[in-house]
Amino acid sequence: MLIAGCTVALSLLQPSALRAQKTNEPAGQTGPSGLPQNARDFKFTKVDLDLLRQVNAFDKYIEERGWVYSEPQINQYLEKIGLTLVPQQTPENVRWRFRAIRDLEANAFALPNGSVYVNSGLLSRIENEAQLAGVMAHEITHVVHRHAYLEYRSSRKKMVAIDLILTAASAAYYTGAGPLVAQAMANLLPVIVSATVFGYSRELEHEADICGVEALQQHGYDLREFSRGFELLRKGPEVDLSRAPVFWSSHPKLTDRVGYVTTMAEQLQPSSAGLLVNRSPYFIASADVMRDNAAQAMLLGRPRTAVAIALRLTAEDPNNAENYVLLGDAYRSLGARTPLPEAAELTDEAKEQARLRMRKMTLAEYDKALLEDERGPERWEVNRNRSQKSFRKALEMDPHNASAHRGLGYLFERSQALQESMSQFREYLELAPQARDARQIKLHLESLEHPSSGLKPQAQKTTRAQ
Amino acid sequence: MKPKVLLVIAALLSNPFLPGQSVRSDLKSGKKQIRTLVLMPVQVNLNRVTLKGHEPMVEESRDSEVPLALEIGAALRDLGYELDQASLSHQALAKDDYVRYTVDDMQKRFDEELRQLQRKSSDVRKGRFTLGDQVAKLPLPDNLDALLFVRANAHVLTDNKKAFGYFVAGSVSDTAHLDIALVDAKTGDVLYYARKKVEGDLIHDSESVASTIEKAFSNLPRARPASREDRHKAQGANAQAAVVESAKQVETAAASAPETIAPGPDSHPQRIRVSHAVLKGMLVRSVRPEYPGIASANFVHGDVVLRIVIDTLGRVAEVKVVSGPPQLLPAATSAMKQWRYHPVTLNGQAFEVETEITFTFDLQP
Repeated sequence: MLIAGCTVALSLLQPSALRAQKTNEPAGQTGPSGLPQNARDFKFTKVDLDLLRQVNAFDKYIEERGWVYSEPQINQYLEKIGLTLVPQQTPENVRWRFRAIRDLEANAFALPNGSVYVNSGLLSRIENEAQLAGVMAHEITHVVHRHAYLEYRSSRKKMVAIDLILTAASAAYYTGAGPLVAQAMANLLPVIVSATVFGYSRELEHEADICGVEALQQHGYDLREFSRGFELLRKGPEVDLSRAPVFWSSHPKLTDRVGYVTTMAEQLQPSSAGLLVNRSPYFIASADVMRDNAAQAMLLGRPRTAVAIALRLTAEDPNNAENYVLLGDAYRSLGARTPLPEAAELTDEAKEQARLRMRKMTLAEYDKALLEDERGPERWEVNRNRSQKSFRKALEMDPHNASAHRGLGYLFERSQALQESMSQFREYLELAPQARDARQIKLHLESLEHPSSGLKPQAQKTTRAQ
Repeated sequence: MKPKVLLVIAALLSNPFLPGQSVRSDLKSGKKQIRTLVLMPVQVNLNRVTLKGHEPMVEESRDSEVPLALEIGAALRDLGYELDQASLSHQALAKDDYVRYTVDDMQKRFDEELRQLQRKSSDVRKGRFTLGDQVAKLPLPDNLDALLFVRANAHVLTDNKKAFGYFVAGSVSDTAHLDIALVDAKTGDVLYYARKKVEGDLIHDSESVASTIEKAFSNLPRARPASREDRHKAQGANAQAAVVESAKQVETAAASAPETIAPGPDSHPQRIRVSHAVLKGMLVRSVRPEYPGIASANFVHGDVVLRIVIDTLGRVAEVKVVSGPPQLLPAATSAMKQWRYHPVTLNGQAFEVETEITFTFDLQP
């Protein structure tokens, strides 16, 4: 029903785009079943069924890994949007499922069996429902139009794609936290990765965009948000050290795509009055995922991502003390970095140097090295003050906020103010004795209380236990 | 002169302290001791390499994880370590998002550290590597000492690709590597790390997997024996650590079916092939086959190799003859059927296992 009529727009704007299609019939034309011609005519061959078996196994694999969020709030929200965007009739061998996945990359992908995954990294980057709907409509088109099968049938392409993935995977390897889901997928499902990493062939991507725009238009979403979403995905807060283009954000010819989507938006929606953007519902549904994503980013050496998320959360929901605690934690883990990359970091030379360091250092060592750089101490001082201010603000809003004390505890510890640090940890344990991380903090506090010679603070507990 | 040089090289190559497996100095000296471990979910990535390129082996990868975990568990029990099967069991992960996400976080954090571990593993000795004390976020009992991370990566070459490799450039054999790291459960420090090439087929050859694991653990000190205090702690302090098994306990315990073991997510138990090492110490009852009179009168002797299946309750469910003198087969199979094992479990899930066992009939007493 909705992925209908893409043809009109196609012939209107990019008449050459689908010339490469084997059939002369426009791919997007909808039949009485509500499915486009190419979906209705699709006959499953042995090769296709083989791919279907693999993706079903992959679905199970990522569930078992614990990568899929089980929070009903975000998944129900994704499902609500997804199901309004899918055609009325479900294509053969498709079962629609829309879920959020724990992964820092700003990426989304669809498996040909109808599983549409949106990464927490993407949810943390985009701003509203219209942008999300754009991404999802695009992915749905890949499923409905059987793009994965079409790509899989071409074994020549398969080989080229795999070589490209290996290049991308090794490039991505040195960008700090590796794109883990993608890496596992590269090992397990190269074809799907090739499609999500490098995009399907240009024609298929184009088709997905055009049909995506159509679907958004039918639901009254603001199309300008679709191209704005592209821009947001392209510009992250981290320095991109990868040598090859990676992920949704860098599907081939992104500027072209922003271009034609903007043109379509202007033609189809001359005025943006009364169009859906839905900033607030989007924010409410995805706030928990954003917080979790920020925590993961801190753990995996991407504190700038965490700061960006925390700043958004405090801006959207300034009355929530927890958001300020997150911001405090994020500034602390920023160490000697600036919240956004400075121009000097973006030169080829600087990137090469950063790659070299990351290749040889662990995350902790890299943090330390930054602190020892010329402007390191000064930057840390700025971040330390921001961090402390955020925790104080959280405590002003909610004097019984336990996690702000925990944050201050770590902050004071880093500044060698051990007495103050310990009293903050004690305060935390008193306020939140049942917290899930109470054991961690308790052990940490013990290591501070009983420092012994020659051992790292954390190592003592076990030594004493002998 | 030359032989001497060669000798030195040979000595260097055989030196177990060269990259391969590294022990943190305090663990090696005995200053730090560990006894109870929990196995983080094992991750296996298998790829089939064809002339066209890499092909994924999703199902094979998933299916290899349990047998690999069981082999590793057996090797650790053999070294005197106790395995906590409850804290990160399937049920624990399924019912608690926090546990599942934290496990996922730690796995990802480990993969980050692994890059440097592989690059300069000898630095483990100095205590250079750590996952940070965030590992203490995992809800683990206080007496649990360490987490074990396992990664296996393999490229399986098709016959065509192998043939191609012989004539043109390229590798001609399968390659599989195993990364194993022991991490302090409280501080996150990496205490032991080994990277070993698997000699043989990672998927089908359980014996060579078992021997690779044995090599990987060759520098790991034996576990300290449990003190009375430990036992007390383990019993009293934490109810979560209910299913802690040690080889010793298993040998002496009666053959009661533990209630804590769930049949697994599917009602049909998964059958997996394991090496005989997995069953070491799991034996509850063994029956010696009687030497058939006719056989001994005719000086028939030799080995009988049986392929057996042990069900989820530890009973010998199937016995098939692999090889052996015909006169000795009935005695061996009928004895085998009376054997009884403890159920083979991994993180609270019981499995049906298939393995080979050899009876030696020797006329010399």
